[in-house]
Amino acid sequence: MLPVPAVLLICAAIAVAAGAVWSLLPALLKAYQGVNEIITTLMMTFLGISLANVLVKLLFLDPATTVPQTRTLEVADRLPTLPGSTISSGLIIGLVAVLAVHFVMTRTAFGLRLRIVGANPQAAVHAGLSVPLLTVAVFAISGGLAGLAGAVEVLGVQGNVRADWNPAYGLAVIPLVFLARFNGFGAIVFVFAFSVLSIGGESAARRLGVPHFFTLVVVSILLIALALAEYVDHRRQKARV
Amino acid sequence: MDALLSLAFMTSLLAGAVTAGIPLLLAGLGEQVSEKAGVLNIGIEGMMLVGAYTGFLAAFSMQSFWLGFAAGAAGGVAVALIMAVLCVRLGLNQIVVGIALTLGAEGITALLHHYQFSRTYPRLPAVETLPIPVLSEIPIVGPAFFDRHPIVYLAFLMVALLIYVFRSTGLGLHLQAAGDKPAALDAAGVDVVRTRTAAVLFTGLMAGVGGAYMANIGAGLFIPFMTGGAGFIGIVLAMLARGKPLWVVFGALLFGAALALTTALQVGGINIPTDVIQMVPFAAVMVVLVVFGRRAKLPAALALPYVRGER
Repeated sequence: MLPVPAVLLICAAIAVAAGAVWSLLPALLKAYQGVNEIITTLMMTFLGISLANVLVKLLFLDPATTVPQTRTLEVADRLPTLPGSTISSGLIIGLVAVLAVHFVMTRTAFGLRLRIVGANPQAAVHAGLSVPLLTVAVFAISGGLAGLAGAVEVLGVQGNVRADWNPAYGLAVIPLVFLARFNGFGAIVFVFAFSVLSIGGESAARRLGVPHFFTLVVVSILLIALALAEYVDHRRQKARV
Repeated sequence: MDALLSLAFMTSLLAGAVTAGIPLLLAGLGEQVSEKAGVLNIGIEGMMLVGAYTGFLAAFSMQSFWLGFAAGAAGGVAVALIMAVLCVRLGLNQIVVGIALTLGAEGITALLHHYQFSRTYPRLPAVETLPIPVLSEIPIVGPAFFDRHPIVYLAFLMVALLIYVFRSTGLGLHLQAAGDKPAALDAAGVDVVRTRTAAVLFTGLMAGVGGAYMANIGAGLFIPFMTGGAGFIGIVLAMLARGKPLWVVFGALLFGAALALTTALQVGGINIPTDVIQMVPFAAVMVVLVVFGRRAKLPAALALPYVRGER
């Protein structure tokens, strides 16, 4: 038997690899065929949700329960919580990931290449960069981080995977990243505000006795309000110039 | 294998393909107009869902399929109006607002359904069809295309109308210019914001009717989240059709067939887990994109808000 930290590390690595592989097809289509990635990644999202259900129900089903779900990790075998709290250590992993991405994007040659491709792909081709390879690399990193996020949630918070479990964090995070103007530190602020408000909405719904669909409405209003706030801020900054 | 190739199987498959394909066709045509005008309408899923709800509510409470479709159209347009104000007039990010509208529509319709219908699950009666003489007698093809509610014929007429508008009218040219080079349209004295607003509202109308068709004719009842990605398939159809309405028809029937395969296979006596079946249409999209991906061409100014005088 391997020690728990080693197992967790292997699990996280597998999750990163799975996320990266899942993004491969959209990446290749985008890089070599120029197919819009919004569509392909949406399709892969739907496929991923169904595939996860198939795997849970057919391959990894916990025989001890009637609910379709995987076996549950012992609390001792999960990602530890932060000392003296119930906060998942996923928080640290997330913050380290933000710092790492920021460092790579602003302090390394690889990051500079990516920024050139993002700003002007034609100029990047003229500068001798392999735009398709960089595109695939970015997709792999992005997919890998998303896989890691899923692993942190399952290994640290949930302890198992239920069939039809889909918190749709990915869909919620995309608008937040746009609102943060692709700035990692801005994203921390937006994600924090978002999670505080949506958890608030959830408990308000529970207290009022309304179904959990209420949270979707809260999230929607929240996103539009954030977009409007960002718009007003943008206008004000422009007026100042 | 005999059962698979039998007349009954083919008839039910093609009829199912049309029934499942009509909402996709309407959504795809709507999205095509909006994308042509330069607005990537990710909120179309929400517009369909609201259209499905309002359409079912009206059809059920007033016992009229036509009022149902009118209410579905109104519901879709109402959501599109929010999108038009936020994305076209104010120029907010179309992806942020589109996702927000879809999530909001899912939440609101599910809540309303919970309070109104979740105990009773009322159903509409089967729809009366308007068979076209002679044509509806053709085996396999007849029941699928020519023995339908008139809204199906209107949907196919809309294809012809859009082909005409795109090809031979000033309006078609304005739409195209609004998506490819809005500044040129502005210089020619046509209001870009107004053109794009009209395009987005049209999308809402088509999506709303498509949603109402799903609820009232496809299912006969409203279920939360019932559109199940149909709006997203509509976006894919619009992207692959490169501005040609006829390609949307082929695509919609193809995906309709993939969706109808579930029921048809059960008629043929073959059972497959539902999770696998649910993957079929999305896997089909990926296959289509892998094979024809290079052909997807999008307007130059898609998803970019137009601000006069800004470069």
